[in-house]
Amino acid sequence: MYRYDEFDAAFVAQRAAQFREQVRRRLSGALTEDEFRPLRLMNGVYLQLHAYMLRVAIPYGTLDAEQMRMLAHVAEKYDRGYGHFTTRQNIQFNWPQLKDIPDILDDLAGVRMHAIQTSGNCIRNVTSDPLAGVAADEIEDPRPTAELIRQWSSLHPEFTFLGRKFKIAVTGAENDRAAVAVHDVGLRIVRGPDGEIGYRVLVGGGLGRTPMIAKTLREFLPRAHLLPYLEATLRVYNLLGRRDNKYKARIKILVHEMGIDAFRAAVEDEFARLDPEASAPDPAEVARIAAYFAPPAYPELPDACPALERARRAHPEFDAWVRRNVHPHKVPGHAAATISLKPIGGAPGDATAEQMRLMADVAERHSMGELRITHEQNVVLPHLRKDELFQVWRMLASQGLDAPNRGLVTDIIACPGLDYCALATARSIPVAQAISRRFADPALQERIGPLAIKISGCINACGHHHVGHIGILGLDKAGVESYQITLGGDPTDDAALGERTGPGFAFDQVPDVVETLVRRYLELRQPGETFLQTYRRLGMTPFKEALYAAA
Amino acid sequence: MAKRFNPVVLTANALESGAPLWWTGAGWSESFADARVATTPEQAATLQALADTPLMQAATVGPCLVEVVEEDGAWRPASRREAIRASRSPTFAYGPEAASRRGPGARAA
Ligand code: SF4
Repeated sequence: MYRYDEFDAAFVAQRAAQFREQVRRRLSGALTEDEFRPLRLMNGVYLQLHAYMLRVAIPYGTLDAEQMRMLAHVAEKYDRGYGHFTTRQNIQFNWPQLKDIPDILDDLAGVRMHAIQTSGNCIRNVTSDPLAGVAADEIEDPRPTAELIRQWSSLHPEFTFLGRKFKIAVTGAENDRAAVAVHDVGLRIVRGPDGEIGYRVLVGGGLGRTPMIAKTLREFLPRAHLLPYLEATLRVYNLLGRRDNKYKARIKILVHEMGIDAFRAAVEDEFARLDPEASAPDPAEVARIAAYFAPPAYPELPDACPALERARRAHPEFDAWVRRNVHPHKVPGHAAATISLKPIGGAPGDATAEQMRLMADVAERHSMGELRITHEQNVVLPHLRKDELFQVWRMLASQGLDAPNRGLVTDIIACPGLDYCALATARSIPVAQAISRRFADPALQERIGPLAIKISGCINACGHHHVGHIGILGLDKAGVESYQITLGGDPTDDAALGERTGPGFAFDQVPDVVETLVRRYLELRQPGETFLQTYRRLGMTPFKEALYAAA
Repeated sequence: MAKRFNPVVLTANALESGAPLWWTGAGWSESFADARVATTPEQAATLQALADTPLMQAATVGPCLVEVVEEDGAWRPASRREAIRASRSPTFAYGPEAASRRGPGARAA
């Protein structure tokens, strides 16, 4: 994992000290809220319905056991004993006191963590594949690229006051697990014509009130040109993007209004003006960063693991967990596993301090001290030995972290919604909980197969509903919560935006609606088909009929 | 036609904790039940003027008026958003309490 150098450590400490002074001035009345708001937002502090909220960056979702323990400490000492992992691979604390936040930032700085650029109109935390470095289908580990971008974009003087927030995602695998097509810039590590490694650059994707799938900006970008090319792209956006209307200020609108060809021409023009050699990072620095992500020293093991097979036969519940939550690994005899933060009836993405500590312990004992946060609001243990999976599962089960539902109907993504969020128009977590309870039966979940339900509590779409196989958007219709349903969304390789079924439904109806859709799919599916495949084959009509015929 | 007047209360968030507060007529309370309800446009204007004072703006965050309705002889916030704020909690059990209610094993409902 990447370790801070002195420069990183100094700037995080300096920022924490500055913020301490700003908080002091706010609490003394020397700063008004209008003056203070931009300062707190630059440090990840929001004001929600019940309290302040602190969003802490987890760069590309990677953290070590020590950092996870620190998150547990923060949850316990300064909050109400839990935190919420987000679709941006970050964590949010829902109840910190403003006066304590400087202390929290100091504590976090002690383990190389911070809240810088988790809010505001800047380049946000770079996200990536939670299976980075271990996935069997990987072309190259995306983390060195993500870290390079993190360093380049942190406090970048030209890009700290963009028209709007800017999100970059990187994937290095054949299967996109980082949803790159719904980011402002998405990078796919690919092989070029001569077999050399570089990037396919996508631009202008995003969700929110105007969802769009990204378009290809550059089919192949040599590796060394990455930062100059990003600089050119950001500069064009910064100069030409709208600032008159917050809802039209994202790069996706600029790309849409200019057209991808004109936008590309502007970027290539700007890029040609730059001297790529001069603005490219120092190769020694690139090598230094890459060295942090060198594979750990895995023991040599046979790939077949009789002990694992025996345990699977003896414990059907463990077997179900392995089937759903364990992923193939590059290295023989090893596996990665998803810890589901979606127990039946739980709040998606929430983990208690105790659970965080347990995850840290498991990581330390069994996963070379490393953990990943996924954009599905789960946690991944990336470096497990197959012959230790049973012990891992037993440990996880002791704290309710053994839900065998990764990618199934109860692995629901939900934003905080109206239970916490000041911008919300409707609740989302209770909707997720009701659906989860409805489909609690593990056998039923397995029969239904892969099905991604994603719920947002307003059009800002933090719950990624546009790319849910079933998307649910909570709105306010004359004071009453109303839930709009979309079908067929997909954030992966064949990225697609969901299509709306029709008029919305009341809060209490949503579990029935989902059940009706699932039933229809089970009636219509061909052997082996997933919900998404059935939907793509048959389209909206049969589902719409099922939903509205009775009405 | 003029918009019908709806009774309102003055609310804000506490500077230090961010917790919701309601104006009682004499100070701030963390309990909605203590809120002074403005039942006439004149009373509402007085509350609004209070919200606009620099002192109020400095001592709390986002003081503003929100509508309330009377139900069974008691006032309650008109919107679900304000009702959730007034309850000072999400609408479900959360954190360690929720986790211990579920108990070990992820399957219990
Ligand atoms: S989607 Fe809306 S309600 Fe949900 S977290 Fe984002 S802003 Fe809040």
